[in-house]
Order: sequence, then C-alpha cells, then structure tokens
Amino acid sequence: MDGIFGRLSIFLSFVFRDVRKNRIVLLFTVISLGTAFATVFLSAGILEGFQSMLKGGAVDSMGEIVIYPKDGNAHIDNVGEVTRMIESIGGVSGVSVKDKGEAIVRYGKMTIGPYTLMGIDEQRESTVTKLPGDVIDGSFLASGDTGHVVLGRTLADALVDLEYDDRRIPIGASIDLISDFGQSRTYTVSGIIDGKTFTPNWNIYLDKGEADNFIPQMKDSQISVKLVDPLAIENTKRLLQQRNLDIQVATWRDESGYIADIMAATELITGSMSKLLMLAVFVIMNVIIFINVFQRRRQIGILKSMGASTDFVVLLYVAESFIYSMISFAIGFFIFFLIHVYSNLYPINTLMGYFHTVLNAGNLISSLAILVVASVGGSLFPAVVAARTNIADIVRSNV
Amino acid sequence: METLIQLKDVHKEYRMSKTLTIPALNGIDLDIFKGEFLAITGHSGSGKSTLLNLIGILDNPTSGEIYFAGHEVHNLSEKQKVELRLNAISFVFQFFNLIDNYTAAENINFQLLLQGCPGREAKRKTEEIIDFLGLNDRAGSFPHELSGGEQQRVAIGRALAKDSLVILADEPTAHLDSANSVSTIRLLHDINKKFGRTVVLVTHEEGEANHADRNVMMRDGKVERIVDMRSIAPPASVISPSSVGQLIGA
Repeated sequence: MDGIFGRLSIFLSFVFRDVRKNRIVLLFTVISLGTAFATVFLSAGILEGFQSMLKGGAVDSMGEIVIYPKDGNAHIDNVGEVTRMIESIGGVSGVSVKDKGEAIVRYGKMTIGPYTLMGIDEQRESTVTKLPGDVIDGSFLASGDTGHVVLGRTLADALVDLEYDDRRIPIGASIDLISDFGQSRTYTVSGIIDGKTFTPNWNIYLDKGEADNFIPQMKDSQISVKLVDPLAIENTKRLLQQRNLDIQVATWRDESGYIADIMAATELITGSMSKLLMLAVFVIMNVIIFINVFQRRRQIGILKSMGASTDFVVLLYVAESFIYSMISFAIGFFIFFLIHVYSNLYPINTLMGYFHTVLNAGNLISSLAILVVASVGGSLFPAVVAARTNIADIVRSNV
Repeated sequence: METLIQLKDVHKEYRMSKTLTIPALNGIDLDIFKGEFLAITGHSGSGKSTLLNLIGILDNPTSGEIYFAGHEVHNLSEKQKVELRLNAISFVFQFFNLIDNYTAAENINFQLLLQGCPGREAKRKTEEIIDFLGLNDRAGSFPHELSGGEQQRVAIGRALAKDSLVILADEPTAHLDSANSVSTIRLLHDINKKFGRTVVLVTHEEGEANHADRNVMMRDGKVERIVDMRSIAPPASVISPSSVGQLIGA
C-alpha cells in the first residue's frame, strides 16, 4: 500500500508542479477554454430562459389546464359541480370560471374585430393567472363592475391607428362592444394590461357578472386551473378526463400551438448552437492539449530515461490536462454565473415577458461529461505518441 | 572479469527514405565489464552515441545481439526494459536533462521516489548525495538557477541515487567549460572507484578517456581499436577517489 500511495504522491506532486510551472500555458488554456465553456453555459441558459419566458407568458395568462364544454355545447353544464370536482383533486391551487365569447370593438371611427371577449371574476382569476396584476395603465376590473372594460395592450394600440407604436386608447375613453349575437353596449376603458404574450394582449376583459348579461350564450364556457406542481399537468389532465364530467380538458401547451412551435424552433436553433459550441470546446481542448503535450516531449524523454513507464508518462499528461479542464470549467461557470445573476437581477422587459437566463443542471452535467471525454481523449493520443517517441532522439535534443 | 554488457555483431541503420539507409554501426563486438570505467571516443558521426543508446536500451539494433547482465535485450518485453532503465541503468546527458520544475534536491529525490524508495529514506539518501556532490547550498535551487557545471553534478547525483549497475554518460562535458569538464570527469571517476559503478563515458575529448580503464576508439561505425588505459601511465590530473570530495569542495 505504501508503494501505491508513494507513487500516487509523486504522481500528484509532479502533476501539480508541472501545472504550476507552466503558468503561461495554464493561463492561455483556461482563458480560451473557460470562455468557451461560458459560451456553452450561456447559450443553454438563454435557451432555457427563452423557453421559460414563453411558457411563463402562456401559463400566467391561462393557467396550466383549460377546460371547455364538450363539442357542440356553448357552456359547461353543472359548472358548480365541475368546479368542486376539480378542486377536490389534489394539487389544484386555483380555479377560475370564465365566459369566453367574441366581440367587435368600436372606438371613434375605428371598428375592428372580432376579438376574444373574456368575462372574468377578478378574485378567482388572481388565483389562476397574473392578468389582474398585469395592468400597465389605469386599473383592473373590480368584482361587480358593470360599466368598465379592460383591454389588452396590442388591442388598445390597434384602436388608435394601425401602427403598433404604443400610442394607446386613453383610460376613461368610451368604446362600444358588439357581440357575436348582435348585442351592443358601451363601456369605459378602466385599464390596459400587458399579459406578456400574444393572446391576452388582443383580448377584451369584462367582469364576469357583466359578461353573463352581455353574452349569456357563452356563460361558463371556460374554466382555468392552476396547479401547485407545474410538472403534474399531464397527470391532472388524465385524472380530470377519467371523471366523466362532460368536459374537454386541454393543457396550456395544447392551447398555445404557436408558442409550442416557437419553443420547438428556438430549441432546434439554440440547441444546435449549443451542441456545436460543445463540439468547438472539444476541438479546442484537443488542439491545446495536443500542442501542450508535444511541446514537452523532452520532459517525457527525461522521465522515460529515468525509468518511468509509458503508462506513467501518459497518465501524467492526461491528469494535467484534466486539471487544466477543471480549472477552465470552473472559470467558465463563474463567468456564466456572473451573467446569470445579473440577468436575474435585471431581467430584460420584452413583449413576450421578462427575459433572464436559467441555470440548467442537466447542461452542467453534460458539459462536465464532455470535459472529461475531451480532456482524456484530447491528451491521450498526443501523450501516447509522445511517450512512444524514441527517447534517444528526444533527450539528445536541447528543446 | 565479469561481463555486464555484451554486444555481438551489432548493426544499426537509420532508414531516411525508401531508398536511403544510413549505417551508423557496422558489426560491433564489445564486452563491458562490471565495475570498469569505459570510454568510447571517436569523431562526430563515428557512431559512439548510437552505441551508447543501444547499451542503454534507449534504441534497438537493426541486427545483432545485446546482452545486459546475461539477458538478451531483444527478448525483453517493454515492461522489462522499463524495469532495467528504472533500476539498472543511469544516464547522464550532455544537456543535463533535469526536470525544470524541481529543485536540485528534488530532482534527485524524484528519481528515488520513482523507484519506490520510501519518502524518508529517499530524503535521507538525497541529503547524502547532495552532501557528496558538495551542493548543500544549492540544493533548493531550480535548474535555471544553477550553472552548467552544477546542473551536470545534479544529473550525476541523480544517476548515483539510482544505485544502478551502469552509468552511461553521453558527452557530459560537451556544454561545460574546461574547469567544470575536469570536475565532472573526476566525479564520474570517483563514483566508479568509490562505489564500484560501471561507467561508460562517450566523449570526443581524447583527454577525458585518459581517466578510463579502457578506451573504445570508434571510426565509421566500427570499433577501430580498444586501448587498455591502465597499461598507460595515468595523467598527472587523475585524482585519487579519496580526494574527490576535496576537489569539488565538499
């Protein structure tokens, strides 16, 4: 055992001495690889952040599960019983029953639409979506408010002119709503919301009691459900379907086909970029390590002339490369972490939501795996080649 | 006398291209005896360094047989060759070839540890060798902080630490001034006499061969003649083993 520990001790001592001695090589290696790793982490963090933003925008405006009447029905029968049944399922944190119809909007000379008209109860809705808190101008609807309407940001802009220049209809302005069923009423704009995704920003929001009167045909036509555990969506959907409640159950993803498309597209693009970057890291590591090992052929010759075996020499340089890689990995992660912290402290406000990077443990693990393969693979070949070079040729040269 | 290394009709050719082969050694027959100080001399290109590399199992002959302590080198596995290089053969090179990131003492200590010598014993032996070399005040210096002569002494100390059967010195004075050259040869001579180590010295300086027991004179890849230097009166500069310490200031 003493022999093994003794050899391990001199092995490690040699490796760390060599790493410390070759400060210039260490510096260049860790800077280039560290930057490359930071780019890998960042690209993955951006992808995750973008997906999280898109998902967040959809979930925050519709909940995780959306329930509709069965085909052919305009509204959900026995909504009270259905609601109680939903609430009895474990893991449901909020339920909001809504009226969902369509209406044409008239403001001054501008008449546009039809757009989706949602009748919501502010208190129930706030347990499921963030819409009541998304007001960017004016105020949201209070329960029992019959004369006011809230508009989505894009619709409020479209009512002023056809250019989307953020010039919006003023708070307090009067608009007429004409329902699909021919009813017409005048409302005062009480607020404008920014749902941070496409759909809610084109919607018209009325208090549910008022919507029940305005579009009684569409009363109780949708239920939004919020879950405690966002990962339990499919399971909850299945449980609801098994209850034979005469309803259709959809997830936010089913409802947001365009978001799923965007997410798939970004995943393809950013995922490809990330994989190419990892490949680049692999190649960079290989090249650096290759040059590094070949530059020290003389030292390899000395060690072999002293009686070190080829395996011992190869292991030395593989271990050294691994140390370079680990330091680079740590530096890369540190650079990414700084950006990540900044990004989360100061998220970028976009039309689709607040963008910030996301730290993905899976990406870190796969990067580590690449690192191990690259450092071992990258150093093994040159070390073996160098270690097999004729010792006589190496030690006689003054390189 | 007991033969330590034996070469029988050894040839070595370097293949430069498909059509060009350069012969380096042409049928060498040589016995190297245990405990002797053998010099190999000759002009540049005479094949003396090639011969040393073959003796040291750093290279393989094109044909012929080499026996090391009775074992035919050709039949040894790579692992056995490594074992011989680790335990039985020491090298001293013209470019010193010390490990740059180790101090003088650590270079010697590393050799001992590499051989599996326990840490404390290695440290004790290192101190003894450093003392013998007269490098006590330079033990903590890195190779780049040492003069050429000091570096070569450390390299010889490393060879001595190995407790090997033979020390192969390949033009160890080629990059030293005359004073350091004399001191280096004397040190090798002392190690040969004091510790009974077989020393094979390759040199192009005829004068250095005067300290050897025999001088193998080479020309065009062949042994031209072997001169028994013991039959020749020793030069005035030969120093007795007991006075080496005094000479190197130890």
